[in-house]
Amino acid sequence: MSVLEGLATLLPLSAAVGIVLAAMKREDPGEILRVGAKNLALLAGGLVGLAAVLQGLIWLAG
Amino acid sequence: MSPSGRSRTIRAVADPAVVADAQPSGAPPRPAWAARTARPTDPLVAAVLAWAFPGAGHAFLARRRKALLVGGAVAATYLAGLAVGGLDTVSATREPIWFIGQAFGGLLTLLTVAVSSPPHPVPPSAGLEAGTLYTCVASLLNFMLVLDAAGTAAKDLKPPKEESPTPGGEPGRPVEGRVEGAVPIP
Repeated sequence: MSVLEGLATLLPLSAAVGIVLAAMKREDPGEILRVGAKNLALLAGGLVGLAAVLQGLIWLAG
Repeated sequence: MSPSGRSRTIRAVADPAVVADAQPSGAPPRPAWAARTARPTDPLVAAVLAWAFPGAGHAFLARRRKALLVGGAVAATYLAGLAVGGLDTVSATREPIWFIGQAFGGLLTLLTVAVSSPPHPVPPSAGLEAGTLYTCVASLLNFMLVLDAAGTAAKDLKPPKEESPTPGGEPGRPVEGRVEGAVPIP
């Protein structure tokens, strides 16, 4: 599995993880969606950054 | 009605303990806050329902919009895993370690196992498949919903902090009628 395939696999999971994490101890669905979107952005940014680092290491290793 | 009788009536409405005692004989005493909210608050039932199907525990606790949101997210992830990897991704013989996590998926996992049970043993997969990962993560997220539903139900059982035991019941609400011990304002 390449880095791009791993990224494509994990990014959709970030949406569910972000929403469920946001729903803990929160009642208002609007607030859950807002915090969930923020969690999704954080997770997606982290995954893209990690994928870039991994791809760079692979490129350096030749 | 005499003034003293009226003051007893006001006190009975205002005092939660008196309201709890005023239930019909034979019925278990019910706290005043539970009578006001009228929501089901059994943590065990909420946890079992939340395990059985994503979001069912929150729907039982009368949080239907939250149940639709989180249950839909978890169920969509689980079904996406089944769509990507097929029904064989949920198998205790093929993926025994991942099946431990998938067991938290409740009826989704039970139904998938019942439908996909092959007549012959399936060889273990060579590597991690996306469908296995999706179903396992969705099931573990469902376990988080179980904990949240049980915690929410337990929180509903507790009286709210702003509960006022003083005459008048709700804070900030003026007391009508005559209250015992009150000094009339000239």
